[in-house]
Amino acid sequence: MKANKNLIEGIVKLGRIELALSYRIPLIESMAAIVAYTSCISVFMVIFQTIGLNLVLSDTLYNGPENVGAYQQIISERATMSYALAQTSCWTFFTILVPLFFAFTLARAFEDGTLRTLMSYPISRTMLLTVKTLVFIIVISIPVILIPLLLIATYLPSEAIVNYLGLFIISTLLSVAQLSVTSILLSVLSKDAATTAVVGVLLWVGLSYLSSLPTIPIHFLMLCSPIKMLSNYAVGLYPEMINWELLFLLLGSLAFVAALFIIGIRVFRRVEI
Amino acid sequence: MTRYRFNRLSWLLICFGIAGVLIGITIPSFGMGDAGQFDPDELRGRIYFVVGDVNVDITVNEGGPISFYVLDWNNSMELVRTQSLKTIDSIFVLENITHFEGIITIPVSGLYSFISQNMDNESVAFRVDMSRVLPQRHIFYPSVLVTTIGMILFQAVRTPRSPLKEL
Repeated sequence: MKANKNLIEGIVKLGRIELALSYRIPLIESMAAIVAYTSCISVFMVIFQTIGLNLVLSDTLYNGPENVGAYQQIISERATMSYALAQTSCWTFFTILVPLFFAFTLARAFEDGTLRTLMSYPISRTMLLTVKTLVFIIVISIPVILIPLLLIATYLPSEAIVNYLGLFIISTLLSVAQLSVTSILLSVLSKDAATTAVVGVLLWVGLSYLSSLPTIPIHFLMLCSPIKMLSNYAVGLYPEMINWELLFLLLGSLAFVAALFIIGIRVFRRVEI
Repeated sequence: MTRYRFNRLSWLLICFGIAGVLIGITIPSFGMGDAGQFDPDELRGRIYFVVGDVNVDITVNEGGPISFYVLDWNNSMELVRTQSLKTIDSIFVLENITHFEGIITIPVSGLYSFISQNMDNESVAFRVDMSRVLPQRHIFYPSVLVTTIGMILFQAVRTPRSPLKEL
């Protein structure tokens, strides 16, 4: 019990050090603002589209409540589409930002000796990398998940419901985790900020382009962009797919992230600092 | 709250405010409007999302006058439910017009329906052109306010303490 408490305290303390070292003012603030801008433009792009409203007053067969239901359904579909677009737009933006972030926080720490200083404290390498990844996933995912929801809640009527919200949250976390563990792996393999930045950005921009192609197989999307896969599913691009297949694909994505993370930790434990 | 946290908060407000100002100025402006021919006893309109005032140009090309209504979302759904304009509270009304050009003030951001009604006994050909008035004030002015608060906070946090207070 006491060991667990010490472990949690250690993680929290290391998390605070990580926040102070890697997330200097105004990094988080500007990232959140860029997420807000991207989300706002994405949400507006969808909800700016017009909805027709034509009525014939003398129509005796008219069914008012049924039509109100139809409009509410349209609004919910718009909310889901705008949430999906906001998530994928933010992901596209992060494909550039995340490799740069890890290049200038982790790979640079190899070059300037910060990592050696940090390792002189009683911290295990596994713990350091785990905390670094967790802090990043939390810091990035919170605005990406919450800001589009806040915009939808502010600007759309209360009837607007974002469908598959739970799955969207899971796939956002998975996508951010994929980006971060890949960048961490690149950082510990190269131990060079410039290499990590160039290779990471080229890799993810390439994958981002490939994932936007209409003929791309769904299993490829599962490996490189779960959020894109779920967005395609939510807007009805895979009508033949059933729910358990989607869950299976998301689990596959989780397994892929976990495998990359374990490889990253193993490399980091053996690498010379 | 420590000075560090106030500093973070001020940066957050400044960054969000600038993002909002940019959105208020460069907001995507799709063409809005409606045109065509409609019969007597027919209501014809479109629902649009607006975050500021709207510039409207209405022209009746053929036939008699029309009436023009702007309704918020709740009243639009009430109209769809009841098929009647009698119990509806419009935020803007023009009755029996053949031409109008002006700006409609939108009180709160949201979905609004812009509806035309044929007031004649014959078909009417009409055209409604609308555009958003930039900057969209329901985003722009709150964002300017947030940026200003952020800047004031930033300045207050960064202001060095008076040497007299140190003594």
